[in-house]
Amino acid sequence: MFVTRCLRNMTSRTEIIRNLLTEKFKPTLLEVKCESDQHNVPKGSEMHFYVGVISDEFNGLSILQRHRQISKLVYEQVPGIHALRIHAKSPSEVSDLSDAPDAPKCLGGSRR
Amino acid sequence: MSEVQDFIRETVTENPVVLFMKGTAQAPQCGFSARTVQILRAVGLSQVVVVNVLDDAEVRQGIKDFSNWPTIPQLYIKGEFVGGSDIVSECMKRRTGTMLREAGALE
Repeated sequence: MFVTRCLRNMTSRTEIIRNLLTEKFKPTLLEVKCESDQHNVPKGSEMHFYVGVISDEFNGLSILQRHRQISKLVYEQVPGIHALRIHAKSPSEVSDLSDAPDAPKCLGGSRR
Repeated sequence: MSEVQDFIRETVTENPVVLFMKGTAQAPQCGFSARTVQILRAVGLSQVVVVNVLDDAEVRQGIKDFSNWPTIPQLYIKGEFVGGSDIVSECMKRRTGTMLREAGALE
């Protein structure tokens, strides 16, 4: 009987994204979730993510500016991500992330 | 600039509302694209030009380069990039609804 052990530190992409966002935005509240189980991709894929970020760094920034900053950081540092849902607010706007929208239902994508 | 970039630029400048999406408005092939279409419908638009990026791999990559934005769908209003499905969801009831009226796209 053979047991395979992985000797490398296999940090999940969820953790990598969480660390990236924490370092750059110092959020007061942060949610990072992999949503690939809701999509038409192999089990265990880490390609679709939701991030909810409340941070003072967003004060005075338009929604597009906030999304561009987050998007640029994540796509540049974590290759292979296919979709990134973003909800970015400042503490003066919301106290929690309960108003973040749910993911839309997957319709199969280009493999359909 | 390539022919694809020219096509994209002409499309977004000559039409007040343009949506680059996966699939068509009648048959979207991606949940994010479908959500965006649904919102545009709910706002009551009479005229939206839709570009199905699954039909053309060069346009699919070209629009990402043009907008400097990595994903589809992408909404343009009066030649200006508005955002993807998250931004359209959030803004549509506020400022973007006004932008659409000004673009003359609302009945």
